[in-house]
Amino acid sequence: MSQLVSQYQRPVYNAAYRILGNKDDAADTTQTVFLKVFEHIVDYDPKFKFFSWVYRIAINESLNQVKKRRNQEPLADNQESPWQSPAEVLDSKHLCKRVQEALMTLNVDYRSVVVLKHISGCSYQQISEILQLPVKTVKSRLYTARQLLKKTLQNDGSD
Amino acid sequence: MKEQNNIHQPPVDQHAYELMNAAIDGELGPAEQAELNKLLAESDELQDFDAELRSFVRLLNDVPERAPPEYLQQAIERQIRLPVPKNKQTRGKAISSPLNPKNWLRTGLALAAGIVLTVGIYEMGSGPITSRDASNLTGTIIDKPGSSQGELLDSVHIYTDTLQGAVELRSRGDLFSLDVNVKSEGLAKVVVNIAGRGLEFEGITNGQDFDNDVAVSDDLINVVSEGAQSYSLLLRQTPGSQPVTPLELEFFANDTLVQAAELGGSR
Repeated sequence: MSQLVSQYQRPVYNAAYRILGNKDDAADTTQTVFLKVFEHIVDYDPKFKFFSWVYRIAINESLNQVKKRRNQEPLADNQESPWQSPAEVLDSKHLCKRVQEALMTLNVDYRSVVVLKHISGCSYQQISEILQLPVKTVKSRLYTARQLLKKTLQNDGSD
Repeated sequence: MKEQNNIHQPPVDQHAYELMNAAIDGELGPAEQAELNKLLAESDELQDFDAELRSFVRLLNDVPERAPPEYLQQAIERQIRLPVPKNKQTRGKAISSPLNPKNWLRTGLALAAGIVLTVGIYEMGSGPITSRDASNLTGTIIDKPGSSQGELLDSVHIYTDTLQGAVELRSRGDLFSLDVNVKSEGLAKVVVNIAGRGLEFEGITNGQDFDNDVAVSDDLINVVSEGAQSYSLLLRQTPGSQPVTPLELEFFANDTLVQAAELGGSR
């Protein structure tokens, strides 16, 4: 069991962090995810990949957390640093922060797809299973989200 | 969302944009790839946009992973009551806790109502349990013992490709129960070794349609089920004996051993 936690806590934490934008919320959500995994392990359908099932719980828990704090101040640990220059987006140590800030401007439906694709490295089919959406919708959301993110980062860089 | 929809249109043809994205993600078939190559060959503007998009997607892929806080794994494991690592367990040692008779008294009192309900329902729902013959399938089916869950003493989870589930060891006054929830694609077999443990098989409970085969001997309890099943194996202290832990369990999927575990070891 310890092995399962070791294997999945990092990807689950990273997915939660990129959706929530806050490390404490991500840690709390990760704990909740594993509790749910073990509580509902008999509900796991072996037709699907185990990691898809775990990710589905992770994404749903993260989205629940987003809903809970919708009216709270976002990005508590990501607001301290203003944009510096467009060039920095590409290769500086601020990359992570810039992308995270841009991610947080996206609607959570778009954000979830981007996180699963670019942070978790899932294929379209896997994202489709995790989010229980048609592949066509996954593609549409991903492509739109990329365009939105690109514009956000470009706009930030030109400020 | 409305505002986002207003700005999301790409500055190139929508179909070409979709092809470029799919190509970058490695999800384009040969025919579509050929179509994209043709479009790119015909347009410098598309080539520039494609290069820009590739660079941007690389940037997204290069976002580094964040290390979870160091406390996280331990916090998770504490919450889900992981089985005790084998090197911390005491095999065959007379128990001091939680199956210690002194603790039975305490928990027994606390669970008095549950015990009465458990035994009462058991007696209403079944005849006497007599067989200890290993060669026969002799499981006695009794009703689910009401709402009495008993005190959780230990648990183990199974998460293999072919068998998933959990088993909880609970104290129910003068009885112990192994509450089994398993799900398998084919046949699932749970084997409990009670040899020399000072415990006897008392019965098996189930609140749903029962579809298990149960074989009991002095040493082993075998339960075979199919699909998703929940049941409880009830164990009683052998008169004149002290219960000994841990209990050894083996889990088989389609006759293949997939996991072994011990329950009730000292922590």
